Amino acid sequence: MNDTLFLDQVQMRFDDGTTALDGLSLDFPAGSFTALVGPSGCGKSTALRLLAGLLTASSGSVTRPTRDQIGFVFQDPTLLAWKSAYDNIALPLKIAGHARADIDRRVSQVLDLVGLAGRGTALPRELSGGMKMRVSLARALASQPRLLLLDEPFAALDELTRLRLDDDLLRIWQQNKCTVVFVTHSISESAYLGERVAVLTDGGHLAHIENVPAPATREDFRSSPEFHQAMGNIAAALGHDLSARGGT
Amino acid sequence: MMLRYFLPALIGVVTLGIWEIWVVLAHIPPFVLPAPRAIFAALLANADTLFSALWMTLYITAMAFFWAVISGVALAVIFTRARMIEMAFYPYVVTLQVTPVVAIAPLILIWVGFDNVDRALILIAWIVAFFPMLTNTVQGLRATETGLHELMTLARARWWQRLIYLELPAAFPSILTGAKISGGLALIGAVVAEFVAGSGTSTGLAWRIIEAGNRLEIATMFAALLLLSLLGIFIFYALSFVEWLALRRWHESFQSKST
Repeated sequence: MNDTLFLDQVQMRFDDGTTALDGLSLDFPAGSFTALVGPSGCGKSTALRLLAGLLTASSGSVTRPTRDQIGFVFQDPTLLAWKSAYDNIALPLKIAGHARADIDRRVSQVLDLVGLAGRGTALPRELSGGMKMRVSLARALASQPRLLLLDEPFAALDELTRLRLDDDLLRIWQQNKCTVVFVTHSISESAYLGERVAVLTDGGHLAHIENVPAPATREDFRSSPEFHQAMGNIAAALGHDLSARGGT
Repeated sequence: MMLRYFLPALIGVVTLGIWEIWVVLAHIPPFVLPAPRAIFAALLANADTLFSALWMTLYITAMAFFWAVISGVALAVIFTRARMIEMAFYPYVVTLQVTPVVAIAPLILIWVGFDNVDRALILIAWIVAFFPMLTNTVQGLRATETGLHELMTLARARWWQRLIYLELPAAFPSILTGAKISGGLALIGAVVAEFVAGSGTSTGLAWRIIEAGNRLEIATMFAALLLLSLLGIFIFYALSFVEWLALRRWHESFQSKST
């Protein structure tokens, strides 16, 4: 139950000859929150899909829990437009063969958790972008996963909604204590969320691992020197000098 | 909003009026162009035969449409699951589609229609109606979002769960588009089939048109034509209504109207 998950010397070559990952090794201790940050096309989504079992590595090994212990949140909400929020969340449970009462209990629990209590009957088109993402998050959480994988989930949302969802995600993680791997291309989001930030550069090369000190309070974290130090280190690993531009 | 109904109705009434007056004033013989009142009279006088013919054509059309939907969706499901089967059979499906049905009809009548004309008529109309069902359903099944497919993979959905929960509902708008085309084509197919069958045993509207034409009962011919048009309109609006019922709550094409 408390096993660390590994990517060990993982190579990923696609049929068209492109190499997304070239010998990436990375471990994810149980209960940890790891942010994967890097430019577009650096292979961070590929690493996530390997962990999810959506892709199979060309070589190297991946340890991961069984499928029913993995929750995955896509870049888009990926909801069934013809199903209510409730039914969307219930679908994976229904496919897995859970009993009706159990599904009921779990769905209302996660709706509560993501702050959508009472909105279960709404269709996706009746929900805002942020709420759709909350439904998507709730769906991933409903199976009570040991491993929660998120692929740039809030990238398409407006800044305020994104900050709010970042905080909600942290709260949920602190309650559930599942292992979280969060892919993002935002340096500040990675430094804010991750206990550890793994910096990937082109070709899936692991450039740096930044251990972000746990903040005393979340409220002031973004203005703390630790946060800016972490951001600076991450940016430097990506080949940018934040201080030279007066910080961002 | 009322203009939507009022304007076409006005055009209809004015056209009928001009038609009636013109026929009377210009002394056009009824076997060339009967007046609207004469057509209406012919409709009433031949109500028995015309409405049983209407019923017959509706039956052929409905059966052909029903089988077109069933076979089109079923074949689309098979094609999208087994690429090899699609590769093997698709050219023949296209061949069936591009060969003019009027040219195949006599053959079908000889093979199938010998002891059961209805079955031959349904088969001919089916050939006409089937193809848009297949292509639209295939296109709808293929267009399902990759992310949703990955979601089903993660949920470890079996192939039939993927089909029932994701692909068929996602393809439903395309299937209904296919059905709207197919419904109209089934009627055309039924009429073509009746024309080709052209015997006393088939008693559909198309046959009534030929028969009335042979007897120079042009008013009756127009009456049958009118019923045929009404049938086509009915099929189109019935299917549009089904589409509206099924999609109005969630599909993009209905959202501007409902919100």
